[in-house]
Amino acid sequence: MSLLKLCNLSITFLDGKEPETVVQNLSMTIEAGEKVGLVGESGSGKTISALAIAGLLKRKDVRIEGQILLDGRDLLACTDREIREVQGKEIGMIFQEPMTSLNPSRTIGWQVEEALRLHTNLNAEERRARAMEALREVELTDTERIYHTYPHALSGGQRQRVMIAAAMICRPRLLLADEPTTALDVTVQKQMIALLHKLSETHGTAILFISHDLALVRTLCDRMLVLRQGKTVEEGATEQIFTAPQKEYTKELLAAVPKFERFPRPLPQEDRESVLQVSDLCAYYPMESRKLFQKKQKKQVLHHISFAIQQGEIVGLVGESGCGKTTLAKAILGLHRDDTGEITHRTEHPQMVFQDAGSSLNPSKTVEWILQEPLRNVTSMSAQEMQERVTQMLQLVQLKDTLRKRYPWQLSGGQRQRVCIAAALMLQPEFLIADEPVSALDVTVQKQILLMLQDIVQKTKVSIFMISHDLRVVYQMCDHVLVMKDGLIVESGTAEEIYRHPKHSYTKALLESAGAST
Amino acid sequence: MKYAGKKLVSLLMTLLFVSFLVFWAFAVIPGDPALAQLGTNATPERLEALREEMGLNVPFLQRYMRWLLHFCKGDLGQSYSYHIPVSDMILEKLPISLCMTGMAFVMVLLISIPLGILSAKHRGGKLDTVICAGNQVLMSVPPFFSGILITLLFGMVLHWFTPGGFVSMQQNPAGFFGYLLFPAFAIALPKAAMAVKTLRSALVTELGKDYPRTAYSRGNTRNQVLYGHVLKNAMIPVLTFFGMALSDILTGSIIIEQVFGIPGIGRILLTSIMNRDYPVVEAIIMLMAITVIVVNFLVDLLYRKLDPQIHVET
Repeated sequence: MSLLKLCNLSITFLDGKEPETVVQNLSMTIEAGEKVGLVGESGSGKTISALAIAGLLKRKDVRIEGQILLDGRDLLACTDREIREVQGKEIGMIFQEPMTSLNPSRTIGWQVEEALRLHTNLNAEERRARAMEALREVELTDTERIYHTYPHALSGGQRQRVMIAAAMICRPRLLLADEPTTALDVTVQKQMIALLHKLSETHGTAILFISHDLALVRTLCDRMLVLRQGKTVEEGATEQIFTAPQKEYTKELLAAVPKFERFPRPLPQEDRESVLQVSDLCAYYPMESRKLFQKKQKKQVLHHISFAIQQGEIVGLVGESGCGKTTLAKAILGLHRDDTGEITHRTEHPQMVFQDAGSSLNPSKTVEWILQEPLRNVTSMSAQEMQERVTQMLQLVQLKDTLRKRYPWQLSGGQRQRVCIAAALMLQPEFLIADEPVSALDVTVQKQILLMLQDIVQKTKVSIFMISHDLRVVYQMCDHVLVMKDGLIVESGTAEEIYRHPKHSYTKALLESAGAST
Repeated sequence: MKYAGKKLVSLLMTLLFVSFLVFWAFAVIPGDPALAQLGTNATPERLEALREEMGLNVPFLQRYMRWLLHFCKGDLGQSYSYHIPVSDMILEKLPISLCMTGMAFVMVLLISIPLGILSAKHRGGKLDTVICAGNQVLMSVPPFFSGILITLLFGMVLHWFTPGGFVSMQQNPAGFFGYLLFPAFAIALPKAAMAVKTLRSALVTELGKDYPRTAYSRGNTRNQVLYGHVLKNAMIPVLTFFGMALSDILTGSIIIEQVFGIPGIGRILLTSIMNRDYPVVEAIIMLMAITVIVVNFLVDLLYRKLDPQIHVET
């Protein structure tokens, strides 16, 4: 008998005006100890399916049909009490956001032990011993300290390890992992996959690994399932799907995955003017002083950064979270006050595109209003001229002109990011900064946006300073690349140089984690 | 410990500033305590003599320094109008006001915490709707008005207490507390309503976060998630509110003491202001400031207990 068997699972949300079916007739099986990948773009219903399996979707406004059989027992027919016996004991779950998925006011030890408190009769000492063992098993060092500390004192990777330790402590037979690596840096991602693999092998735990990152699924999973709009598109052994996809959508999805290939683009002509020059830039953050009359201490976050961006060039900045990427962007924009060094740019109003298009657009204004805002603030254009500029820009970012009257929440993620890019281009700046412009988007949308940016650079000769943690995206797009670590530029050069012949060990490590074959 | 020391210095500075401000305010606003005391008997000569006697002719800063010095030694001075030590006056009335404040605050806690939890637990349901509607009404009624309504209902109609029939603690302890119950209730009502609202929204916010979902995934019941995970985090913003409410209740009791005819601190404060009886006013205001500051200090300490993140920032 299969460990888990889904039979014609359908999930319908009833809270809107019309019932909306987000998962349709999903059938699949997971054998004991098997690692199965569930891939699909946002809105494909993969997270919802996992929540349904974990029994976390019992709400009045959700209708679940079909069967979820765990060892032949239908979880949908179970009472709440019976479901709680399964949760944490038979089925463990880890989530995408390690930063927010742990209770901020409880110690790590308390949270790791929770499932033991709920499902076993172990006494405090035994629980503690088990928790320490679990923390060691997820390869945390300094477990004694971590046991007594709170989530805020840990890094994202450490928190996700704690989540895994807590989910695995009762030795569940099935672990649901919902995008467990998405919020983490590439080097950490790789370690996390290795850890999941090890745990599955040692304890025979089956894993349902949900991800939009196909490369990760390939390294971890035996079988995979491609979902689209709540329906199964293709199912089979992972290698088979990767090497010989049968369905059109699967092929499209695989093609959109950023690879270490450069988008074709004409070589930029020589001796262009530089639009941005940064020399010897240092930036500081104030540190909280411990004594009342002590002089405020500063922490240096950027160390002697120097580089230049030429006209029509795309320069990439890569590095892991906390290395100072965003501070550098802020300093260039003049948003970070406490810095030394020199920044000269030819553009009067440098613009920026942010990662999260959803929350960086004012939800109560129309697209047109948002696009006109920079014009209203710094130019004296007539209403007519502003209208025309909006029309031009919408064309440039390949949005229909009818969208100008819409509100941001009426747009898709990709459309919103296009609006953000258009807004940044309204003043026709000579360069703009794009901070992780495609990280929050699905791969197919990602590719469209990146191609569009290439196109815009061709047409407008704008320069882009692109910040990203995704080395593949940077390689596809950029002429020059800067590699940053701990506020220091450890290596810089043309994209080809950096990716083909990395010199610094950190660059090599980054490339290796991202799966580049150099 | 370092934290407590740092906090103490800033507390003392605040008190110094408040005391100076009050002293200065009385120096610049019109009104002469000597004139207030003499009333219609005032002649220029007697006025001058009295001013000299009361030390009002000394320059302002010198007067302040002298008062401060005495204050630090614990000597609050003599009341201008009653000619008895201020400390005696205050000590006599203080227990009454403190009792009332304490009772009102306990009522706020007893009413708001269960109702807030209940409301958040059944959010969107009928019970929640009723509680929220009730809140809206109670929040908008000022205590002096609800005080009048309570007097009318419990005093005149139900005869549960005799309006104006205040008895002191020494005479009849049961009667004393029984009487204070009603003014305390009048003060507590709007604060409790606001506290319910604050607690409810804090709980609803916390319940919408990611970690309760994690807790459910481990097999916790609704109540376990609510009490074991969410409540502690939700109490952090509510604590600030309770701190402010306690200070508010203390200072807000002045009016309620008038409505219910209670001879507390509020009453002396009012008459002393009218008589320009500075020593008394200054002492009472310092007392209130100290209480407010101490309450805030306690809230800060409790904060550190609830929110582990504060440790890193200080």
